[in-house]
Amino acid sequence: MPKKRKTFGSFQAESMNFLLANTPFNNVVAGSAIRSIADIMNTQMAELSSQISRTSSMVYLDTASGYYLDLIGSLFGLSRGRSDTYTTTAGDKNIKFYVTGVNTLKRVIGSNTISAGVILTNTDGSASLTVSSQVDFNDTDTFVFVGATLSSETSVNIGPNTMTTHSLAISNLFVTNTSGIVHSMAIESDDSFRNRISSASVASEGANESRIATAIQQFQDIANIDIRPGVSGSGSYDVYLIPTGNRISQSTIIALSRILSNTSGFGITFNIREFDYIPIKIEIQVKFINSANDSLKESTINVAESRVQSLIGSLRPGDKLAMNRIIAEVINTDNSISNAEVIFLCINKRVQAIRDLRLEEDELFVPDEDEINPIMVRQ
Amino acid sequence: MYADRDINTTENGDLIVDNGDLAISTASESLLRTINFCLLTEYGDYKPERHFGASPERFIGYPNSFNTRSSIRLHIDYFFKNQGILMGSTHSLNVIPVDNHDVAIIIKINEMIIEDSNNAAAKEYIMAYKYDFNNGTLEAVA
Repeated sequence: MPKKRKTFGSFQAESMNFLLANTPFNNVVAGSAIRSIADIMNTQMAELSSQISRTSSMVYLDTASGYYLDLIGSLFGLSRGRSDTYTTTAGDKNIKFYVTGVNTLKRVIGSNTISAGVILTNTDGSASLTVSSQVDFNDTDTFVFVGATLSSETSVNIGPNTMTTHSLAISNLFVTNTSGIVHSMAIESDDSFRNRISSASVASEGANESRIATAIQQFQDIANIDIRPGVSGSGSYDVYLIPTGNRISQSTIIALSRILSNTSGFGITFNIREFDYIPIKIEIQVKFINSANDSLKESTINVAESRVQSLIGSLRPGDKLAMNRIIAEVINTDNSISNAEVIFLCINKRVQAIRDLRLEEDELFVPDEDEINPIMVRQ
Repeated sequence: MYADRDINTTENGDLIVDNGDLAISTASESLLRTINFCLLTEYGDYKPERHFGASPERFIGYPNSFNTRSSIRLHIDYFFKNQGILMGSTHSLNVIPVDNHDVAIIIKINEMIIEDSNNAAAKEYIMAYKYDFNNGTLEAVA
């Protein structure tokens, strides 16, 4: 327990009482010599007490803060979370360039590559991504996924299908993001870091569940984990990752694999499991009120598609995807939509009757990445 | 009635050592030293006790007028009482002009003091100081 600070007044009261009780000095008013000596000593004692109190509070996990909390964290090999610049790889299947109709990418672009440095922005220009490396595609491809990084070190929180503008001056080439982009540059708070250290102190007893959970908590695209021991035989555990959006990024999985290798004890094997991603394609037909103009219709359709993608991304294993929820999301997009109806549903590449769907305990929906526009809202 | 005793010091405030031990003052010495220290300290200057001090230093540059002298007298009297050093009718205080920019501050103490012998006796002490309006300094006059 931290040492409580003793004030100057408290030291003075004790000193004066001691002097009055044990010495012939009874003139202890301010201005007396004995009081002056006590004043000088107790000023220093109060300062010392303050230092001791502050220092002792910084050695306990529940009261330490700032730099001193960082020092405690370093004892467990932990450091305060400081975010790097957001990066998504082509393998994450998030940023997609595509063409529509009978066009192909090669015919529209005039070459078989999308070069690094192409800038993508969202509709209001508040976020921009830069294509991180050149991507090649075949002559007949109609879409391609690219890797990209945030152009500036800022925090962003944007929904799917919002990065729709690119810097290539080609009119029939479109771009979108299939998943939301959530990225915080905020430095981890004392409370959050204290919580991780607390878990790590339990984890330090050995390669236990708490230690694994602590190692995983730092990744922003992992919403939760499910650790299942013994699934792959004795001496093994499987870690199921639940993403914050549609998918866990590849860079996170690589980093996580490295961390778990260090965390797990000798003779223990582990598997990092993602849930089964079930591709979904859905078409929703909307009716607009008569006064809606074309510009409003186009922007409303974009927002509606984004909302449906967010809804699908928020479903957890075991959740139910109700058609009425999709319709409600679309109708609530804007007052200009008078009606909406799901007219096409394709799950796992198979066309289905329009009905409510329930995910199994190891399944997650993702927009069908082989489709140009898997979540389509149209008139 | 005053019987409090203190560590004995010289008039300059230096500690006096007697046979290797701190000397103990008489009650009257204790009272006079305390008054002296308070009067030479400007209010707020003494770090451990901010509400201490009765020096008229803040009257620097004031004209040596009747009003200023009255103000100095009230100032010193107020802080002595406020800090519990001299109370009620045990003392009188006069501020007298000496020349154009100097005044004499005369403190006359009339107090029943109990010294070592435990016999209370009325004692009268007079303390005199010179205050210079030009530089705000206060000096004890022997």
